[in-house]
Amino acid sequence: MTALLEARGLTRRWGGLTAVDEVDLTVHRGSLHGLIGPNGAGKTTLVNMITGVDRIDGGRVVFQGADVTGLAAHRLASRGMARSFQTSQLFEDESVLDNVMAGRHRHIGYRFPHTFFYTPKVSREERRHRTDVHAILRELDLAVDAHRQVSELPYGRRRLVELARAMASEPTLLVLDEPAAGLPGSDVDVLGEVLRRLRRNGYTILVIEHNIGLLMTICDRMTVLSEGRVIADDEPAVVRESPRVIEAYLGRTDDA
Amino acid sequence: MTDTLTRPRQPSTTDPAGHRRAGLPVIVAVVLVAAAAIFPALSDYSTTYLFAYILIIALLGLSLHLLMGLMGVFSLGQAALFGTGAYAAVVVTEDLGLDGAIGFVLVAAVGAVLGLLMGAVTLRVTDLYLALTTLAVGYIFENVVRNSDWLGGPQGRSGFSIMFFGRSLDDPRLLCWIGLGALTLFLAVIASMRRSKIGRAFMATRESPMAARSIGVDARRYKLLGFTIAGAFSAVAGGLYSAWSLVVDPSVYSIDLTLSVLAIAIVGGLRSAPGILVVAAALTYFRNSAGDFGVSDYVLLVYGSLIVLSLRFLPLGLGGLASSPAVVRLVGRSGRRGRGGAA
Ligand SMILES: Nc1ncnc2c1ncn2[C@@H]1O[C@H](COP(=O)(O)OP(=O)(O)OP(=O)(O)O)[C@@H](O)[C@H]1O
Ligand SMILES: [Mg+2]
Repeated sequence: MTALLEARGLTRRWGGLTAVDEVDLTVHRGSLHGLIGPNGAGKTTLVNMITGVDRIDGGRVVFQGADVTGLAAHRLASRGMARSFQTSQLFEDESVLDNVMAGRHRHIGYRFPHTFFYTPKVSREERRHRTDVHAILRELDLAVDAHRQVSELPYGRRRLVELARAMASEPTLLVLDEPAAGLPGSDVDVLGEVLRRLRRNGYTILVIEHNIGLLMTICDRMTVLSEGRVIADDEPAVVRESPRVIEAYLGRTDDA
Repeated sequence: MTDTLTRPRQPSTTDPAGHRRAGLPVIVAVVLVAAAAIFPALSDYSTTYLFAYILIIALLGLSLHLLMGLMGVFSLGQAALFGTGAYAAVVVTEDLGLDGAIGFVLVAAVGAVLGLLMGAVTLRVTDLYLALTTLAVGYIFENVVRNSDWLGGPQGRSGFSIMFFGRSLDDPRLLCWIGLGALTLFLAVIASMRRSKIGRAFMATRESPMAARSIGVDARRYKLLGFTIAGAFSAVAGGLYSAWSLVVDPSVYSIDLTLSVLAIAIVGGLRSAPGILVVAAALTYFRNSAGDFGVSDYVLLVYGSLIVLSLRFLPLGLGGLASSPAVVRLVGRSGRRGRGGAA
């Protein structure tokens, strides 16, 4: 297996606090990689640096063999990184279809003057992309809500829309920040199934989750962060037995 | 590109396009434009003259629709662009002696460059800072022209004649037709952008800049693009204003204009081009005939009250009212059928 993403010595400081401290992370092509850790461990900060949303104070990021350290988020997105956010970043007043269509941005090729005069070329290409988006919506069981406004949807469906938007960019690396947060148990199972299916279809996924039970069953590999440092990085079965991980999670009662 | 999504195995039964049909609105728009084009030929001089002014204001209103409504950029730089267009038209047609058919393309280019610069200066700031910076550009320019002999100083310039296709634009009918052409072009561009990639990029940047960047939208590029387009059309509006008023002086940079256009855009609905057009016509008519009603001293009071009332009761303006769920349902029941999907 080759490495799709390699982060070396990533560091981020907030004032006196080192939120992410010399973290190494390798995500292999075609794998489903879990990232776990207690609240405030630095998981979100780490993926924010990797995806260009946050500044990098130290270290390097290599993506598809190229050094992408410090590249702007939109450049990384054009290179095939897509992500969802821990707190919803959906376009609330817009339809599900438009939200997900926005995710196809980097694949839409028409340029000036076509965009300014809605030429047949635009019409054709838009229709093609809408068909693709509908396929994604069907896959996530969102097709019935395609024309509803996002703000009308219940919480769980909105999480799925955020996933759909990220998938719409057909990413080489899909980064998900707590996609199951706040979902009722049945929806968590559905989500787990979706992630497994995506992986089978060849996606590479880096997923942050608090639900360790879910991650243990679906991941190929897991990285555990605690207080900004990596305390374990291995297959789920090994991570589960790691004394340091057990210690970091001691007293935590997860609904796993 | 890893093509990893499971493609639908059979052609889907639901309308895969699933989008708003373009047919009806386009037909309605064509009919309205045609009616508006015939109007100046049939109406009297003063009505035509007022109609020309309404078109000029509508152009400015639409530029706010683009900047504030679609891009979510709170710009108060309308007067800077408008005023510069007004002076540019005089310079280009009078000093350079160009016909308006070429001259107004240059005016648009000047506005586009100024818009681009305003966008570039405000790339890193948002909200209040952006509003104040763009507002300040107007003040700077007003001061520059006030102190420039070439541009007539405080008295400005008059006695020029702006030609278009070899005919003088002091014929309000010709002015209406040129204004209508510019307005139609602007509407077409906005409508096309809205339904395509650029419109979604504007929308994404407006709703969540972070999410926009994460789907590959270069937010800065689109901000510059939007400012450029708005700048071009605002300057054309200014150029038409010069032809309309027959005199151009530093008052074209006044905040009064910026605020009344802002009122029109807010009351009409920042996201609604039709709403803005209707309110542009209504408020401009009101302002023009305020003297007849004996309320000329209260025009700004009325504008201000309308903004307050609109923000309080109709945050999306009149256009928002027209597209509110209740009204849409009412219209939908009598008209469209079989548009599957929407619950
Ligand atoms: N913008 C910020 N300013 C200051 N400190 C921050 C900021 N963002 C994060 N931090 C701090 O960095 C640390 C790591 O935060 P981060 O959000 O990455 O944790 P996390 O592992 O994602 O936690 P959670 O499971 O709660 O999402 C925390 O101590 C947090 O308080
Ligand atoms: Mg987090």
